[in-house]
Formats: sequence, structure tokens, C-alpha cells
Amino acid sequence: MNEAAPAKRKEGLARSWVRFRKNHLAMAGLIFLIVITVAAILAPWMAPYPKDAGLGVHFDKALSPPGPGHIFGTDEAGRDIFSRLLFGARLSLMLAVIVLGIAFSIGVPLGIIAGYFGGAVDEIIMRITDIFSSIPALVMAMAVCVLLKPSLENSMIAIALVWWRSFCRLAYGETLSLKQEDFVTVSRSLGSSSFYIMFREILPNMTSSLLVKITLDAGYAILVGTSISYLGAGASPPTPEWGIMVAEGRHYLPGSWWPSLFPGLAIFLTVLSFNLLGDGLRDFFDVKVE
Amino acid sequence: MKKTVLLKAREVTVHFDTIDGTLKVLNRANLDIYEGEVIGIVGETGSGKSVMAKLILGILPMPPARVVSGQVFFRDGDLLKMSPKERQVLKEKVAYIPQDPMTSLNPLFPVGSMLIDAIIWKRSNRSLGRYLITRRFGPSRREAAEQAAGLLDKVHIADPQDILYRYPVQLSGGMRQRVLLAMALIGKPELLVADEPTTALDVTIQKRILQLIQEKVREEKLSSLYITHDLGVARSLCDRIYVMYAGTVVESGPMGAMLEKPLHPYTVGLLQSIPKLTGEPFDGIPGQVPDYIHLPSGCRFHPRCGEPTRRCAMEEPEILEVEPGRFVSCHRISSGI
Amino acid sequence: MYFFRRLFYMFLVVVGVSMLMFALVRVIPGDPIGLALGANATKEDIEKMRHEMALDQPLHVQYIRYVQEIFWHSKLGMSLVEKRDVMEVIRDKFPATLELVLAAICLAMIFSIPLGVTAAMNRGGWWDHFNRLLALFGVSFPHFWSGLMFQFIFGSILALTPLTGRIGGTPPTDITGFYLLDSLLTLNWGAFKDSLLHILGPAVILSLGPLANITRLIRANMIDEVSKDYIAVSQATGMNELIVRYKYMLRNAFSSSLTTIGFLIPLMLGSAFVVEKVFAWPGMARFGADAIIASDFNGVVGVTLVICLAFVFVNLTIDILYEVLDPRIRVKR
Repeated sequence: MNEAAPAKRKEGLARSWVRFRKNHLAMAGLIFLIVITVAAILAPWMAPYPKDAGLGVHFDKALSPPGPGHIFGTDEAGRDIFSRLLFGARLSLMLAVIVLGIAFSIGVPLGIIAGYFGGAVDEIIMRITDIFSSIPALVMAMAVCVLLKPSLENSMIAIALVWWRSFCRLAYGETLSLKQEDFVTVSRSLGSSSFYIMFREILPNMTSSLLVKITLDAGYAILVGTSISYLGAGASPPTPEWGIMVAEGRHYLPGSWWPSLFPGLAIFLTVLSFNLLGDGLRDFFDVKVE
Repeated sequence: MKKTVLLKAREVTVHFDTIDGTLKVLNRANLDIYEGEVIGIVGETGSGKSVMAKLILGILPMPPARVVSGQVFFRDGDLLKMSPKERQVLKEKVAYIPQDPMTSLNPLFPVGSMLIDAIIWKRSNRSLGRYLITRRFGPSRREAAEQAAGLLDKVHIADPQDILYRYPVQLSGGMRQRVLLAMALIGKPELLVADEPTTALDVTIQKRILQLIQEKVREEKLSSLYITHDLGVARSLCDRIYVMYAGTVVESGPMGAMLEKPLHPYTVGLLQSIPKLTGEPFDGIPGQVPDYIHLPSGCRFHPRCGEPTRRCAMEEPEILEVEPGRFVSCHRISSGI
Repeated sequence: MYFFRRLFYMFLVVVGVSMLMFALVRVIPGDPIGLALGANATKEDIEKMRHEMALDQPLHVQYIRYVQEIFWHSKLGMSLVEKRDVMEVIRDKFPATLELVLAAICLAMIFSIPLGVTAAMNRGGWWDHFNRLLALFGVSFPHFWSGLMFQFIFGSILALTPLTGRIGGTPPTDITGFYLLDSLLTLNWGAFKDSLLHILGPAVILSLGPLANITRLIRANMIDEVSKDYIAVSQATGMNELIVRYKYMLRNAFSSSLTTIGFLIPLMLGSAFVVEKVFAWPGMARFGADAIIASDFNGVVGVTLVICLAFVFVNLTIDILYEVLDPRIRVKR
């Protein structure tokens, strides 16, 4: 049965790419993400009014509707929304990277260890995970975040603290099924250390599941992060974070709809792209990840 | 003696469309079933025999399957050209005994409920509205339950009233197979199609179930079609058999004649490997069942044939009636005669 | 006996969470006394408060006192936001949240089941792809944004639904705490229409995520069912295709989906924080959100505990439901 697996994996990179390209939705997601990432990186140069992302205020231009000079209009302090959106992209993408990075580094090793050794280690680690799992991510993250004093950085830590559990569970499940496979038995009989088996044999076989999960979770992490900021427990003004931009703009609805609409739209499109890409990857690798 | 033909399949070709390519699973297959006959289709796993059966039963999923050419007649009706409604009516005339009783009954419903549903459906003349009303209200439900119990009794199930309310998980394999047989008999069928009806059971039960099926076939005057890979089973049951390989009928004829004097090299190989065959290389015939997407050219069997001629790799052999009722599809045979 | 083992295990999880909450509240830096008393407290006031809150006792004693307060005195501590005991606050506000969550899940299921079934039957077709796109959309909306947009379009521009709140006029007589149910029971049509219009916005927004998830789930499970042997047998008897689908296949597909659907409920409680805030829905989740902003530790802890309990409760309920619905499990006991 395992002979089939490596044979499939040897499918050339070029051929895989062609096959993946057929999924138009996933490609759309990928392209949008690339665009956003590039825009975020180049924000200081791409933004027409870079100072508006920081302290620049122009009250004379407050709440101007979208038009020439300001494609998305200005907010209540006269700042160009488009420029702020670009800088906001940096923040959100950074949040996704940091949160997932931390969660991954904690959760995956723990999950593999628990799955591989079983017994008491398994019980302890998984029960702790269970405790953390009883509470939805947003709630837990907010709770931790506020106890640490609200700020963007703290919200990232809070989300990461809560996110590791699902990585742990995924790694655990995969380890359980992978450790039955022949290549593990062979490796063990050759005298490889447990550490080697876990991280050089089992872990690489999870890459497709992990990749799918990371992609999908990036979107959800951004949703949670911006929600926290919206509620006031994360970033604070004048940071051009998408969540608080929507919160600030809400006071001016329905008359001035653009300060709330565009940041929210940005969040939606970014998360959607992650989801499209992740869904496409999931089909492509033929895994079952939620 | 001229018998009435029940089922006639001519040059049936079926393709399966998948992401990886098109599987040409049935290749110009022919099949005749007369009233009162017991026919067997013999072949290894993957020979296309189940596809043929499912086509006759009307449960072949039509995408991805596609009938490319050919005709199938049940009595006078053209199965492939019928309207869906007419096809539903016909399904009652063709009964199905599936292979694995463990997975062939819906685990979430009591066994009786499946029977009663089928009975009431038949009674309400296949109209959805009438079915829904009858199902819930009225004496018809009780009558249907009695009829169901009667059917269970016919297949020699003790205490049928009790079994009606049991779930499949509470019944043994043999019991489940009997229930499936009872279900098959609901529509007063004329043809019974049994797909390897004993493979999943213990040997001791096997014999009893086969006997039961034969008994019912005699009682109800059915024709039957057995799909099997086991020549031994075919030998004891069938009047005539069709040998299939890679979606093609390679040889067919009366059971006795086939056993005495097999003509097609594949049939010869099969007989040499009695009693059992598997899909893997077995004694006498090296090689494996071909990939249905990338089939060999010409005769589908030629790569495994002991004595292929030059024609075999180039063109498909035609079907030749070497004796009355005896058909072979082989170049060597056709040219030798 | 299995049941009791599960119960015990759940109890352990609840204890674990309470300890975690306790740790967060007491151990993480932050000055509860300072917040409670304000800047002008004298040294004696501080000492008195410290003794009252038992902050001068060792940690495990504090924990025991904490648990005692909950079970013996039904107190979860004073809420800074509401200026009364958190237990009381939750008792008042929980029904509102529950009504919202239940309404959202019902809404989600009503639409997602037919969508999922039809998508599965039309596998690979345009309807299937369209559904998949909708599903991906559904999980991508930030609730605060979609809520605002709903209010903007339906509330302001079209003026079809009210913007915020649970009801405009007087609430119906309190029987269950659910406005929709209570107004029906007391035949108060005015209140019914009123609460229905008010619950529409938040329920729809809250239901988008689960709608997407359940549709995909049902679709996947139905596709599994199509290749099942017992379905082939039913079809071979000439049974009407609609019956085969909606009675036989769906029942099995739904059974397999139950766990996931159940766990959507605690997840929705999380999203409710945002939705309630946007729509000013007077529920427990909004209180939770306010508590967090105001650093109302007791409030935060109380709400989190309730959510954890809800999770545990759902877990148990699903186990029981499985026993009822799946004879295979029933028989094995």
C-alpha cells in the first residue's frame, strides 16, 4: 500500500502545477493573495498618502466620498482610506504569519509526541488540549488579550495561545495513523531514534495536511484578529488596522458608508482568497482537513 | 423446442468517464436468457460481469457510465430507450441479490421497514403522492406488514413478526441474505440476478442459501442469472454460462459442453485453476487483468494467451457460432475451423 | 456505565477550565483592587479589600473559596460593568443569546440540507460549483462587517428591519425567556412580529458560517452514501428516486453529520460576541464583550465558564443522540 504513496508523490512538480492550475477558483485566490502580499510589502511606495497611515490628519478633507485623489474616500480624520488599507494589509498578514508560526511550533511537536509515544504522555497532552478546546477561539483570545492589556501585539499572542490546540490535534491524528505504516516499522527495526522517526519520517508525511490547514487557518486567524480589534481589545487608533477602521467608520453610517465598507471588504476578500486557495489545495492533495 | 426469450443483450458497449480517462468496461457483449433457464456469467474480478448485471438491473450510475452502443431487450421492451417511468416498472420484474449482506441493508432502518416500503410503493402504483399517504395512514400499512412477514416466512425465517422490527446489526449474515431474498421476491420478478451471492458468507451457510435460492427459483418459476468467479458454483447451478474477460464475452455455451471441451484459451486456463480464481496471476495464465483505459490492441486477451496468432494483436476477433448455441470469440479458433 | 465515565470526564474538563480561568484572573498581572476601589483608596481600604477578596490567602485556599462562592452562594463575583453579581447577569441575559443561536442554527439547517443534497446529486455540475462558492463566501465574512452591511442595506436603505435591539415595544410575558416562543404562547401577534423582525438580522448573519459548513458536510456525506450497497439494493427494487434520496440516504448522511453540527453551537457562541455587539442584542455574549473591554474579570470568567459548560453539555447531548439514532451503537451497549 505504501508503494503507491511514493509513486504518486514523485509526480513531477511541473505536472502538479498544470493540474493545480485547472482549479480556477483556487488560482483566483492565489493571484489575489500574491497581489495583496506585494501591495503590503510595497505599501510605503504604493500608497498615495503614506502619512495618512500614521499620524497624518487633514480635517478639512474629512469624510470625502470616493473620488479623484482618493479612490476609496477619506475617513473622519481626512485620511486616505486606500493608503490605510495598504498598511493594514501589512498588519493582517503579519498577524497571520506570527500567529500561525507560534501555534505551529507549539502544537505540531506536541501533537506528534503525544501520538507517537501514547500512554501517559498522550493522555496528559491531549487532556490539556481538550481543556483549551472547550472555549471558542475568539472568546479565549479576547479573554487572554484583555487580561494582558489590549494591544495589537497582545492580541496576536492571545490568538496564538489559543490556536496551537488545533495544530496539536491534527498532528496527533496524523501521527496515530502514520505510525502504523511500514516505513516506520522498518525505520525502527533499523535502530533509528524516536526523535529521528518523529521528525524526519512522520512529520514530512503530514506536509500536505499541514499546508492545507495553514492556508485555511490564515484566513480564520485574520477574521479573529480583526474581530478582536473591532471590539476594542486589539489595535488602537490611529493604527490602520482593518478591524478598528470598520469600528471607527461605523459611527458615520449610513451617510458616509465608505470608511466601514472598504476595510471590511478587504478583510472579506483576503479571507476568501485564503479559503479558495486552501480549498483548492485540499482537493489537490486529497486530504480531509477542516 | 422454441423457448421464449426473456432477456436479449446485443453488442453492448459501455464506457466509464473518469478524471483519469475513459474506461471501456464492456465491449460488444451479448447475452441471451430464456424463460426458466439458469445462466451464469463467469470471470475474474474486474472482468465486467458486475457492470453487465448492473446495467440489466438499472442501477448503473449513468454518469459516469455511458452506453456507447448496443441494445438490451427485456421481453419486448428496449431497456435503453425506455422512459424512466417504464424503467422503474421493469425493475420490479428483475430482482437483485447483492454480494455482501453485511453492507446491503440500511443500518439505520429496521429490516421490516425496507420491505414494507417496497410493498406499499408497489401497491400505490408507483405514484409518490399515494405512497406518502398510504405509508402513514390506513389499514394498507398493516396489510403490507403481514405481507412482509409472509415473505420472510417464505425464505424460512423463524418468527418473522419479530424479525420485522429488528435492525440489520442484530441479524446474522445468513439471516440478512434471506431478508434480501425476500425483498427481491416482492415485485413478483421474472428474472433473478444474483451477484456472487455467497462469497461473503461462511461455507456452511453458503450451501443453505444457494439451496434456498434454487428452491425459490423453482417455486416462482424464475429465470436466474448468477454472476460469479467460482466455476465450481457455476457448474453446480447453471444450464449455460458466459465466460467474460476484460469486458468481452470470450466464450459461451451449455455447461456440460463447456466443461468437456473448452475452446477459448482463457476458458481452458480457468478450468485448469478450479476450484477458485482470483484477480491476481493464477496458475496457467500469467499476467494481470488489463487497465481499462489502456487496453491492448486487437483481442483483449492476446498478451496473456499462450498461442497468439499475428492477427490477434491487430484486430478484435468476431463472434463465431461453432456449434448451435456455442459461441467463441477467438482468431485461432475461427481460422482453425 | 459508559455514560457515567463520560460524565466524570466532562466534569474533569470543567474543573480544568475553572482552574485555568482562576489562574488567569489571579496570576496574570493586573490590579483588581485598584480597579474596584479607584485611585483615591486609602491604605486601610486597600488592606480591607484585600482581606475581603481573600487575596492575602494562599492560592489553593483562594481557589476553594472561588468554587464555594459559585456552588454554595451562586455567586460568580461582582461585575464591574453591571454592578451586580455575574451569576444574576448571566441568568438574565443567557436566554437572549440562546434564542439567537438556536434561531441561527435552525435557519442554517433549513437551507443547508436541501442545498447539500442537491449539490451532491448534481455533483460536478454548475449547481455544485455554485454551492461550493457560496459556502466559501459564507465562511469568509467577518461578522462585524456583514452585520453592519445588513443593517446598512436592510435597516437604513430599505428600511425593512430594525437596526438594533431585541424588540421595539414591550416584550411578551416571560414563560420561557424566548421572545418568539413566549409571544406565540400568549397569542401576542404584535410582539411576535416585532421580535421576529428584530431577530432576523442577527440570526441571518450568525447563520452564514454554519450554513456553509453544514452544506459542505451534507454534500460530502451524501456522496459517500451514493456508493453504498444498500442504496443500490433499494434502487434495484424500483423505489422512487426521491424516496431513496431523502429518506434513505439523507438519514444516514445526517447521522454522520451530527457531531460536527453539534459542535457548531459553541463555535457560534464565540461569533455571537461580535454579532450581539453590532446589533445591540441584549445577550450574554454582548455582556462578555463589554466585560472584556472594561477589564471586568469576574464577568469575563463567568461568561467563559458558561461557554465551556455549554460545550460540555453539547458533547453529552450528542453522545445520547447517537444512542437514540444509530441502532448499531445501541445494540453494542
